[in-house]
Amino acid sequence: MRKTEWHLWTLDQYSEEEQWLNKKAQEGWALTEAFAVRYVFEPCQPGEYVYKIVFTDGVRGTTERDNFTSFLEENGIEEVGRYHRWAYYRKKNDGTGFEIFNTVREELAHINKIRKLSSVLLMIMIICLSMELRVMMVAPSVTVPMVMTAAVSVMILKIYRGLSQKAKKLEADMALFE
Amino acid sequence: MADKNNTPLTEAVYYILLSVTAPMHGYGIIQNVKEKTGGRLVLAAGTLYGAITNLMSKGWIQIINEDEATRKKDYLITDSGMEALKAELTRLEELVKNGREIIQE
Repeated sequence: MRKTEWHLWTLDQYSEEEQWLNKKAQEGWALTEAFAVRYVFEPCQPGEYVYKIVFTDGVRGTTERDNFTSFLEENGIEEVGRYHRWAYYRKKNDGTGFEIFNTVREELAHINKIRKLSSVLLMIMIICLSMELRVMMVAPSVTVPMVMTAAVSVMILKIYRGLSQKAKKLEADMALFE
Repeated sequence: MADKNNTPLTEAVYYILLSVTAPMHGYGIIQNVKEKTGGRLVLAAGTLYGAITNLMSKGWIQIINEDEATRKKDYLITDSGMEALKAELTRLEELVKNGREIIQE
């Protein structure tokens, strides 16, 4: 018996998303597929798996990514889903926690990758907004989509700023610790 | 900052190089480091992968055996890797010596 759930998580909520998936696993539902907002779960022993979400470097099918994935497999880590560059990993829960990366440097690099993506999205939204603004001069009916675009832009800006704050904190740590 | 003597190494790199003084595969390295540090340092698989990739391109370690079926690779330190490891050990000894002169317990 499988069940499908729909959930929207924003770019900066990967930790919350991870907690959500781990809670599901605790309740006996193991994620087996993930794509954008669609999540498929299958029954498992409660707490059988732990999950980790990573914004990876390469895309599917490249040698670099294949090497990375098979290296993880050697270490008992399985990729269960992938959307764009977001990868969903799981391993059997042995009570020792689950990290794919565990240095400050890598955590910072991870945040910066997501920050870069959010800045690209923000740029696209601003281009849309300026185009809509031009159209609005002649057709005021564009106001509603324009307000929506503006709202999404503000949301992405907030995400970007949140990630920047996180990055700044880690940079300060890096000056003291390896 | 990294200088031309290739020191200081990160803790992870230091222990990876120590591990591959004998042929060892990825999982073996993680276990070995964990054992050597009494469980204090547990390398995450992705961290180890990144370090191995960088050490390979620097020529400090090499693949000496690859299992066709499982794609499992055995790594071994090279001469230049051994040099870097020795330089780091000398640096660490200096750190400890200077520390011990001030702090005796």
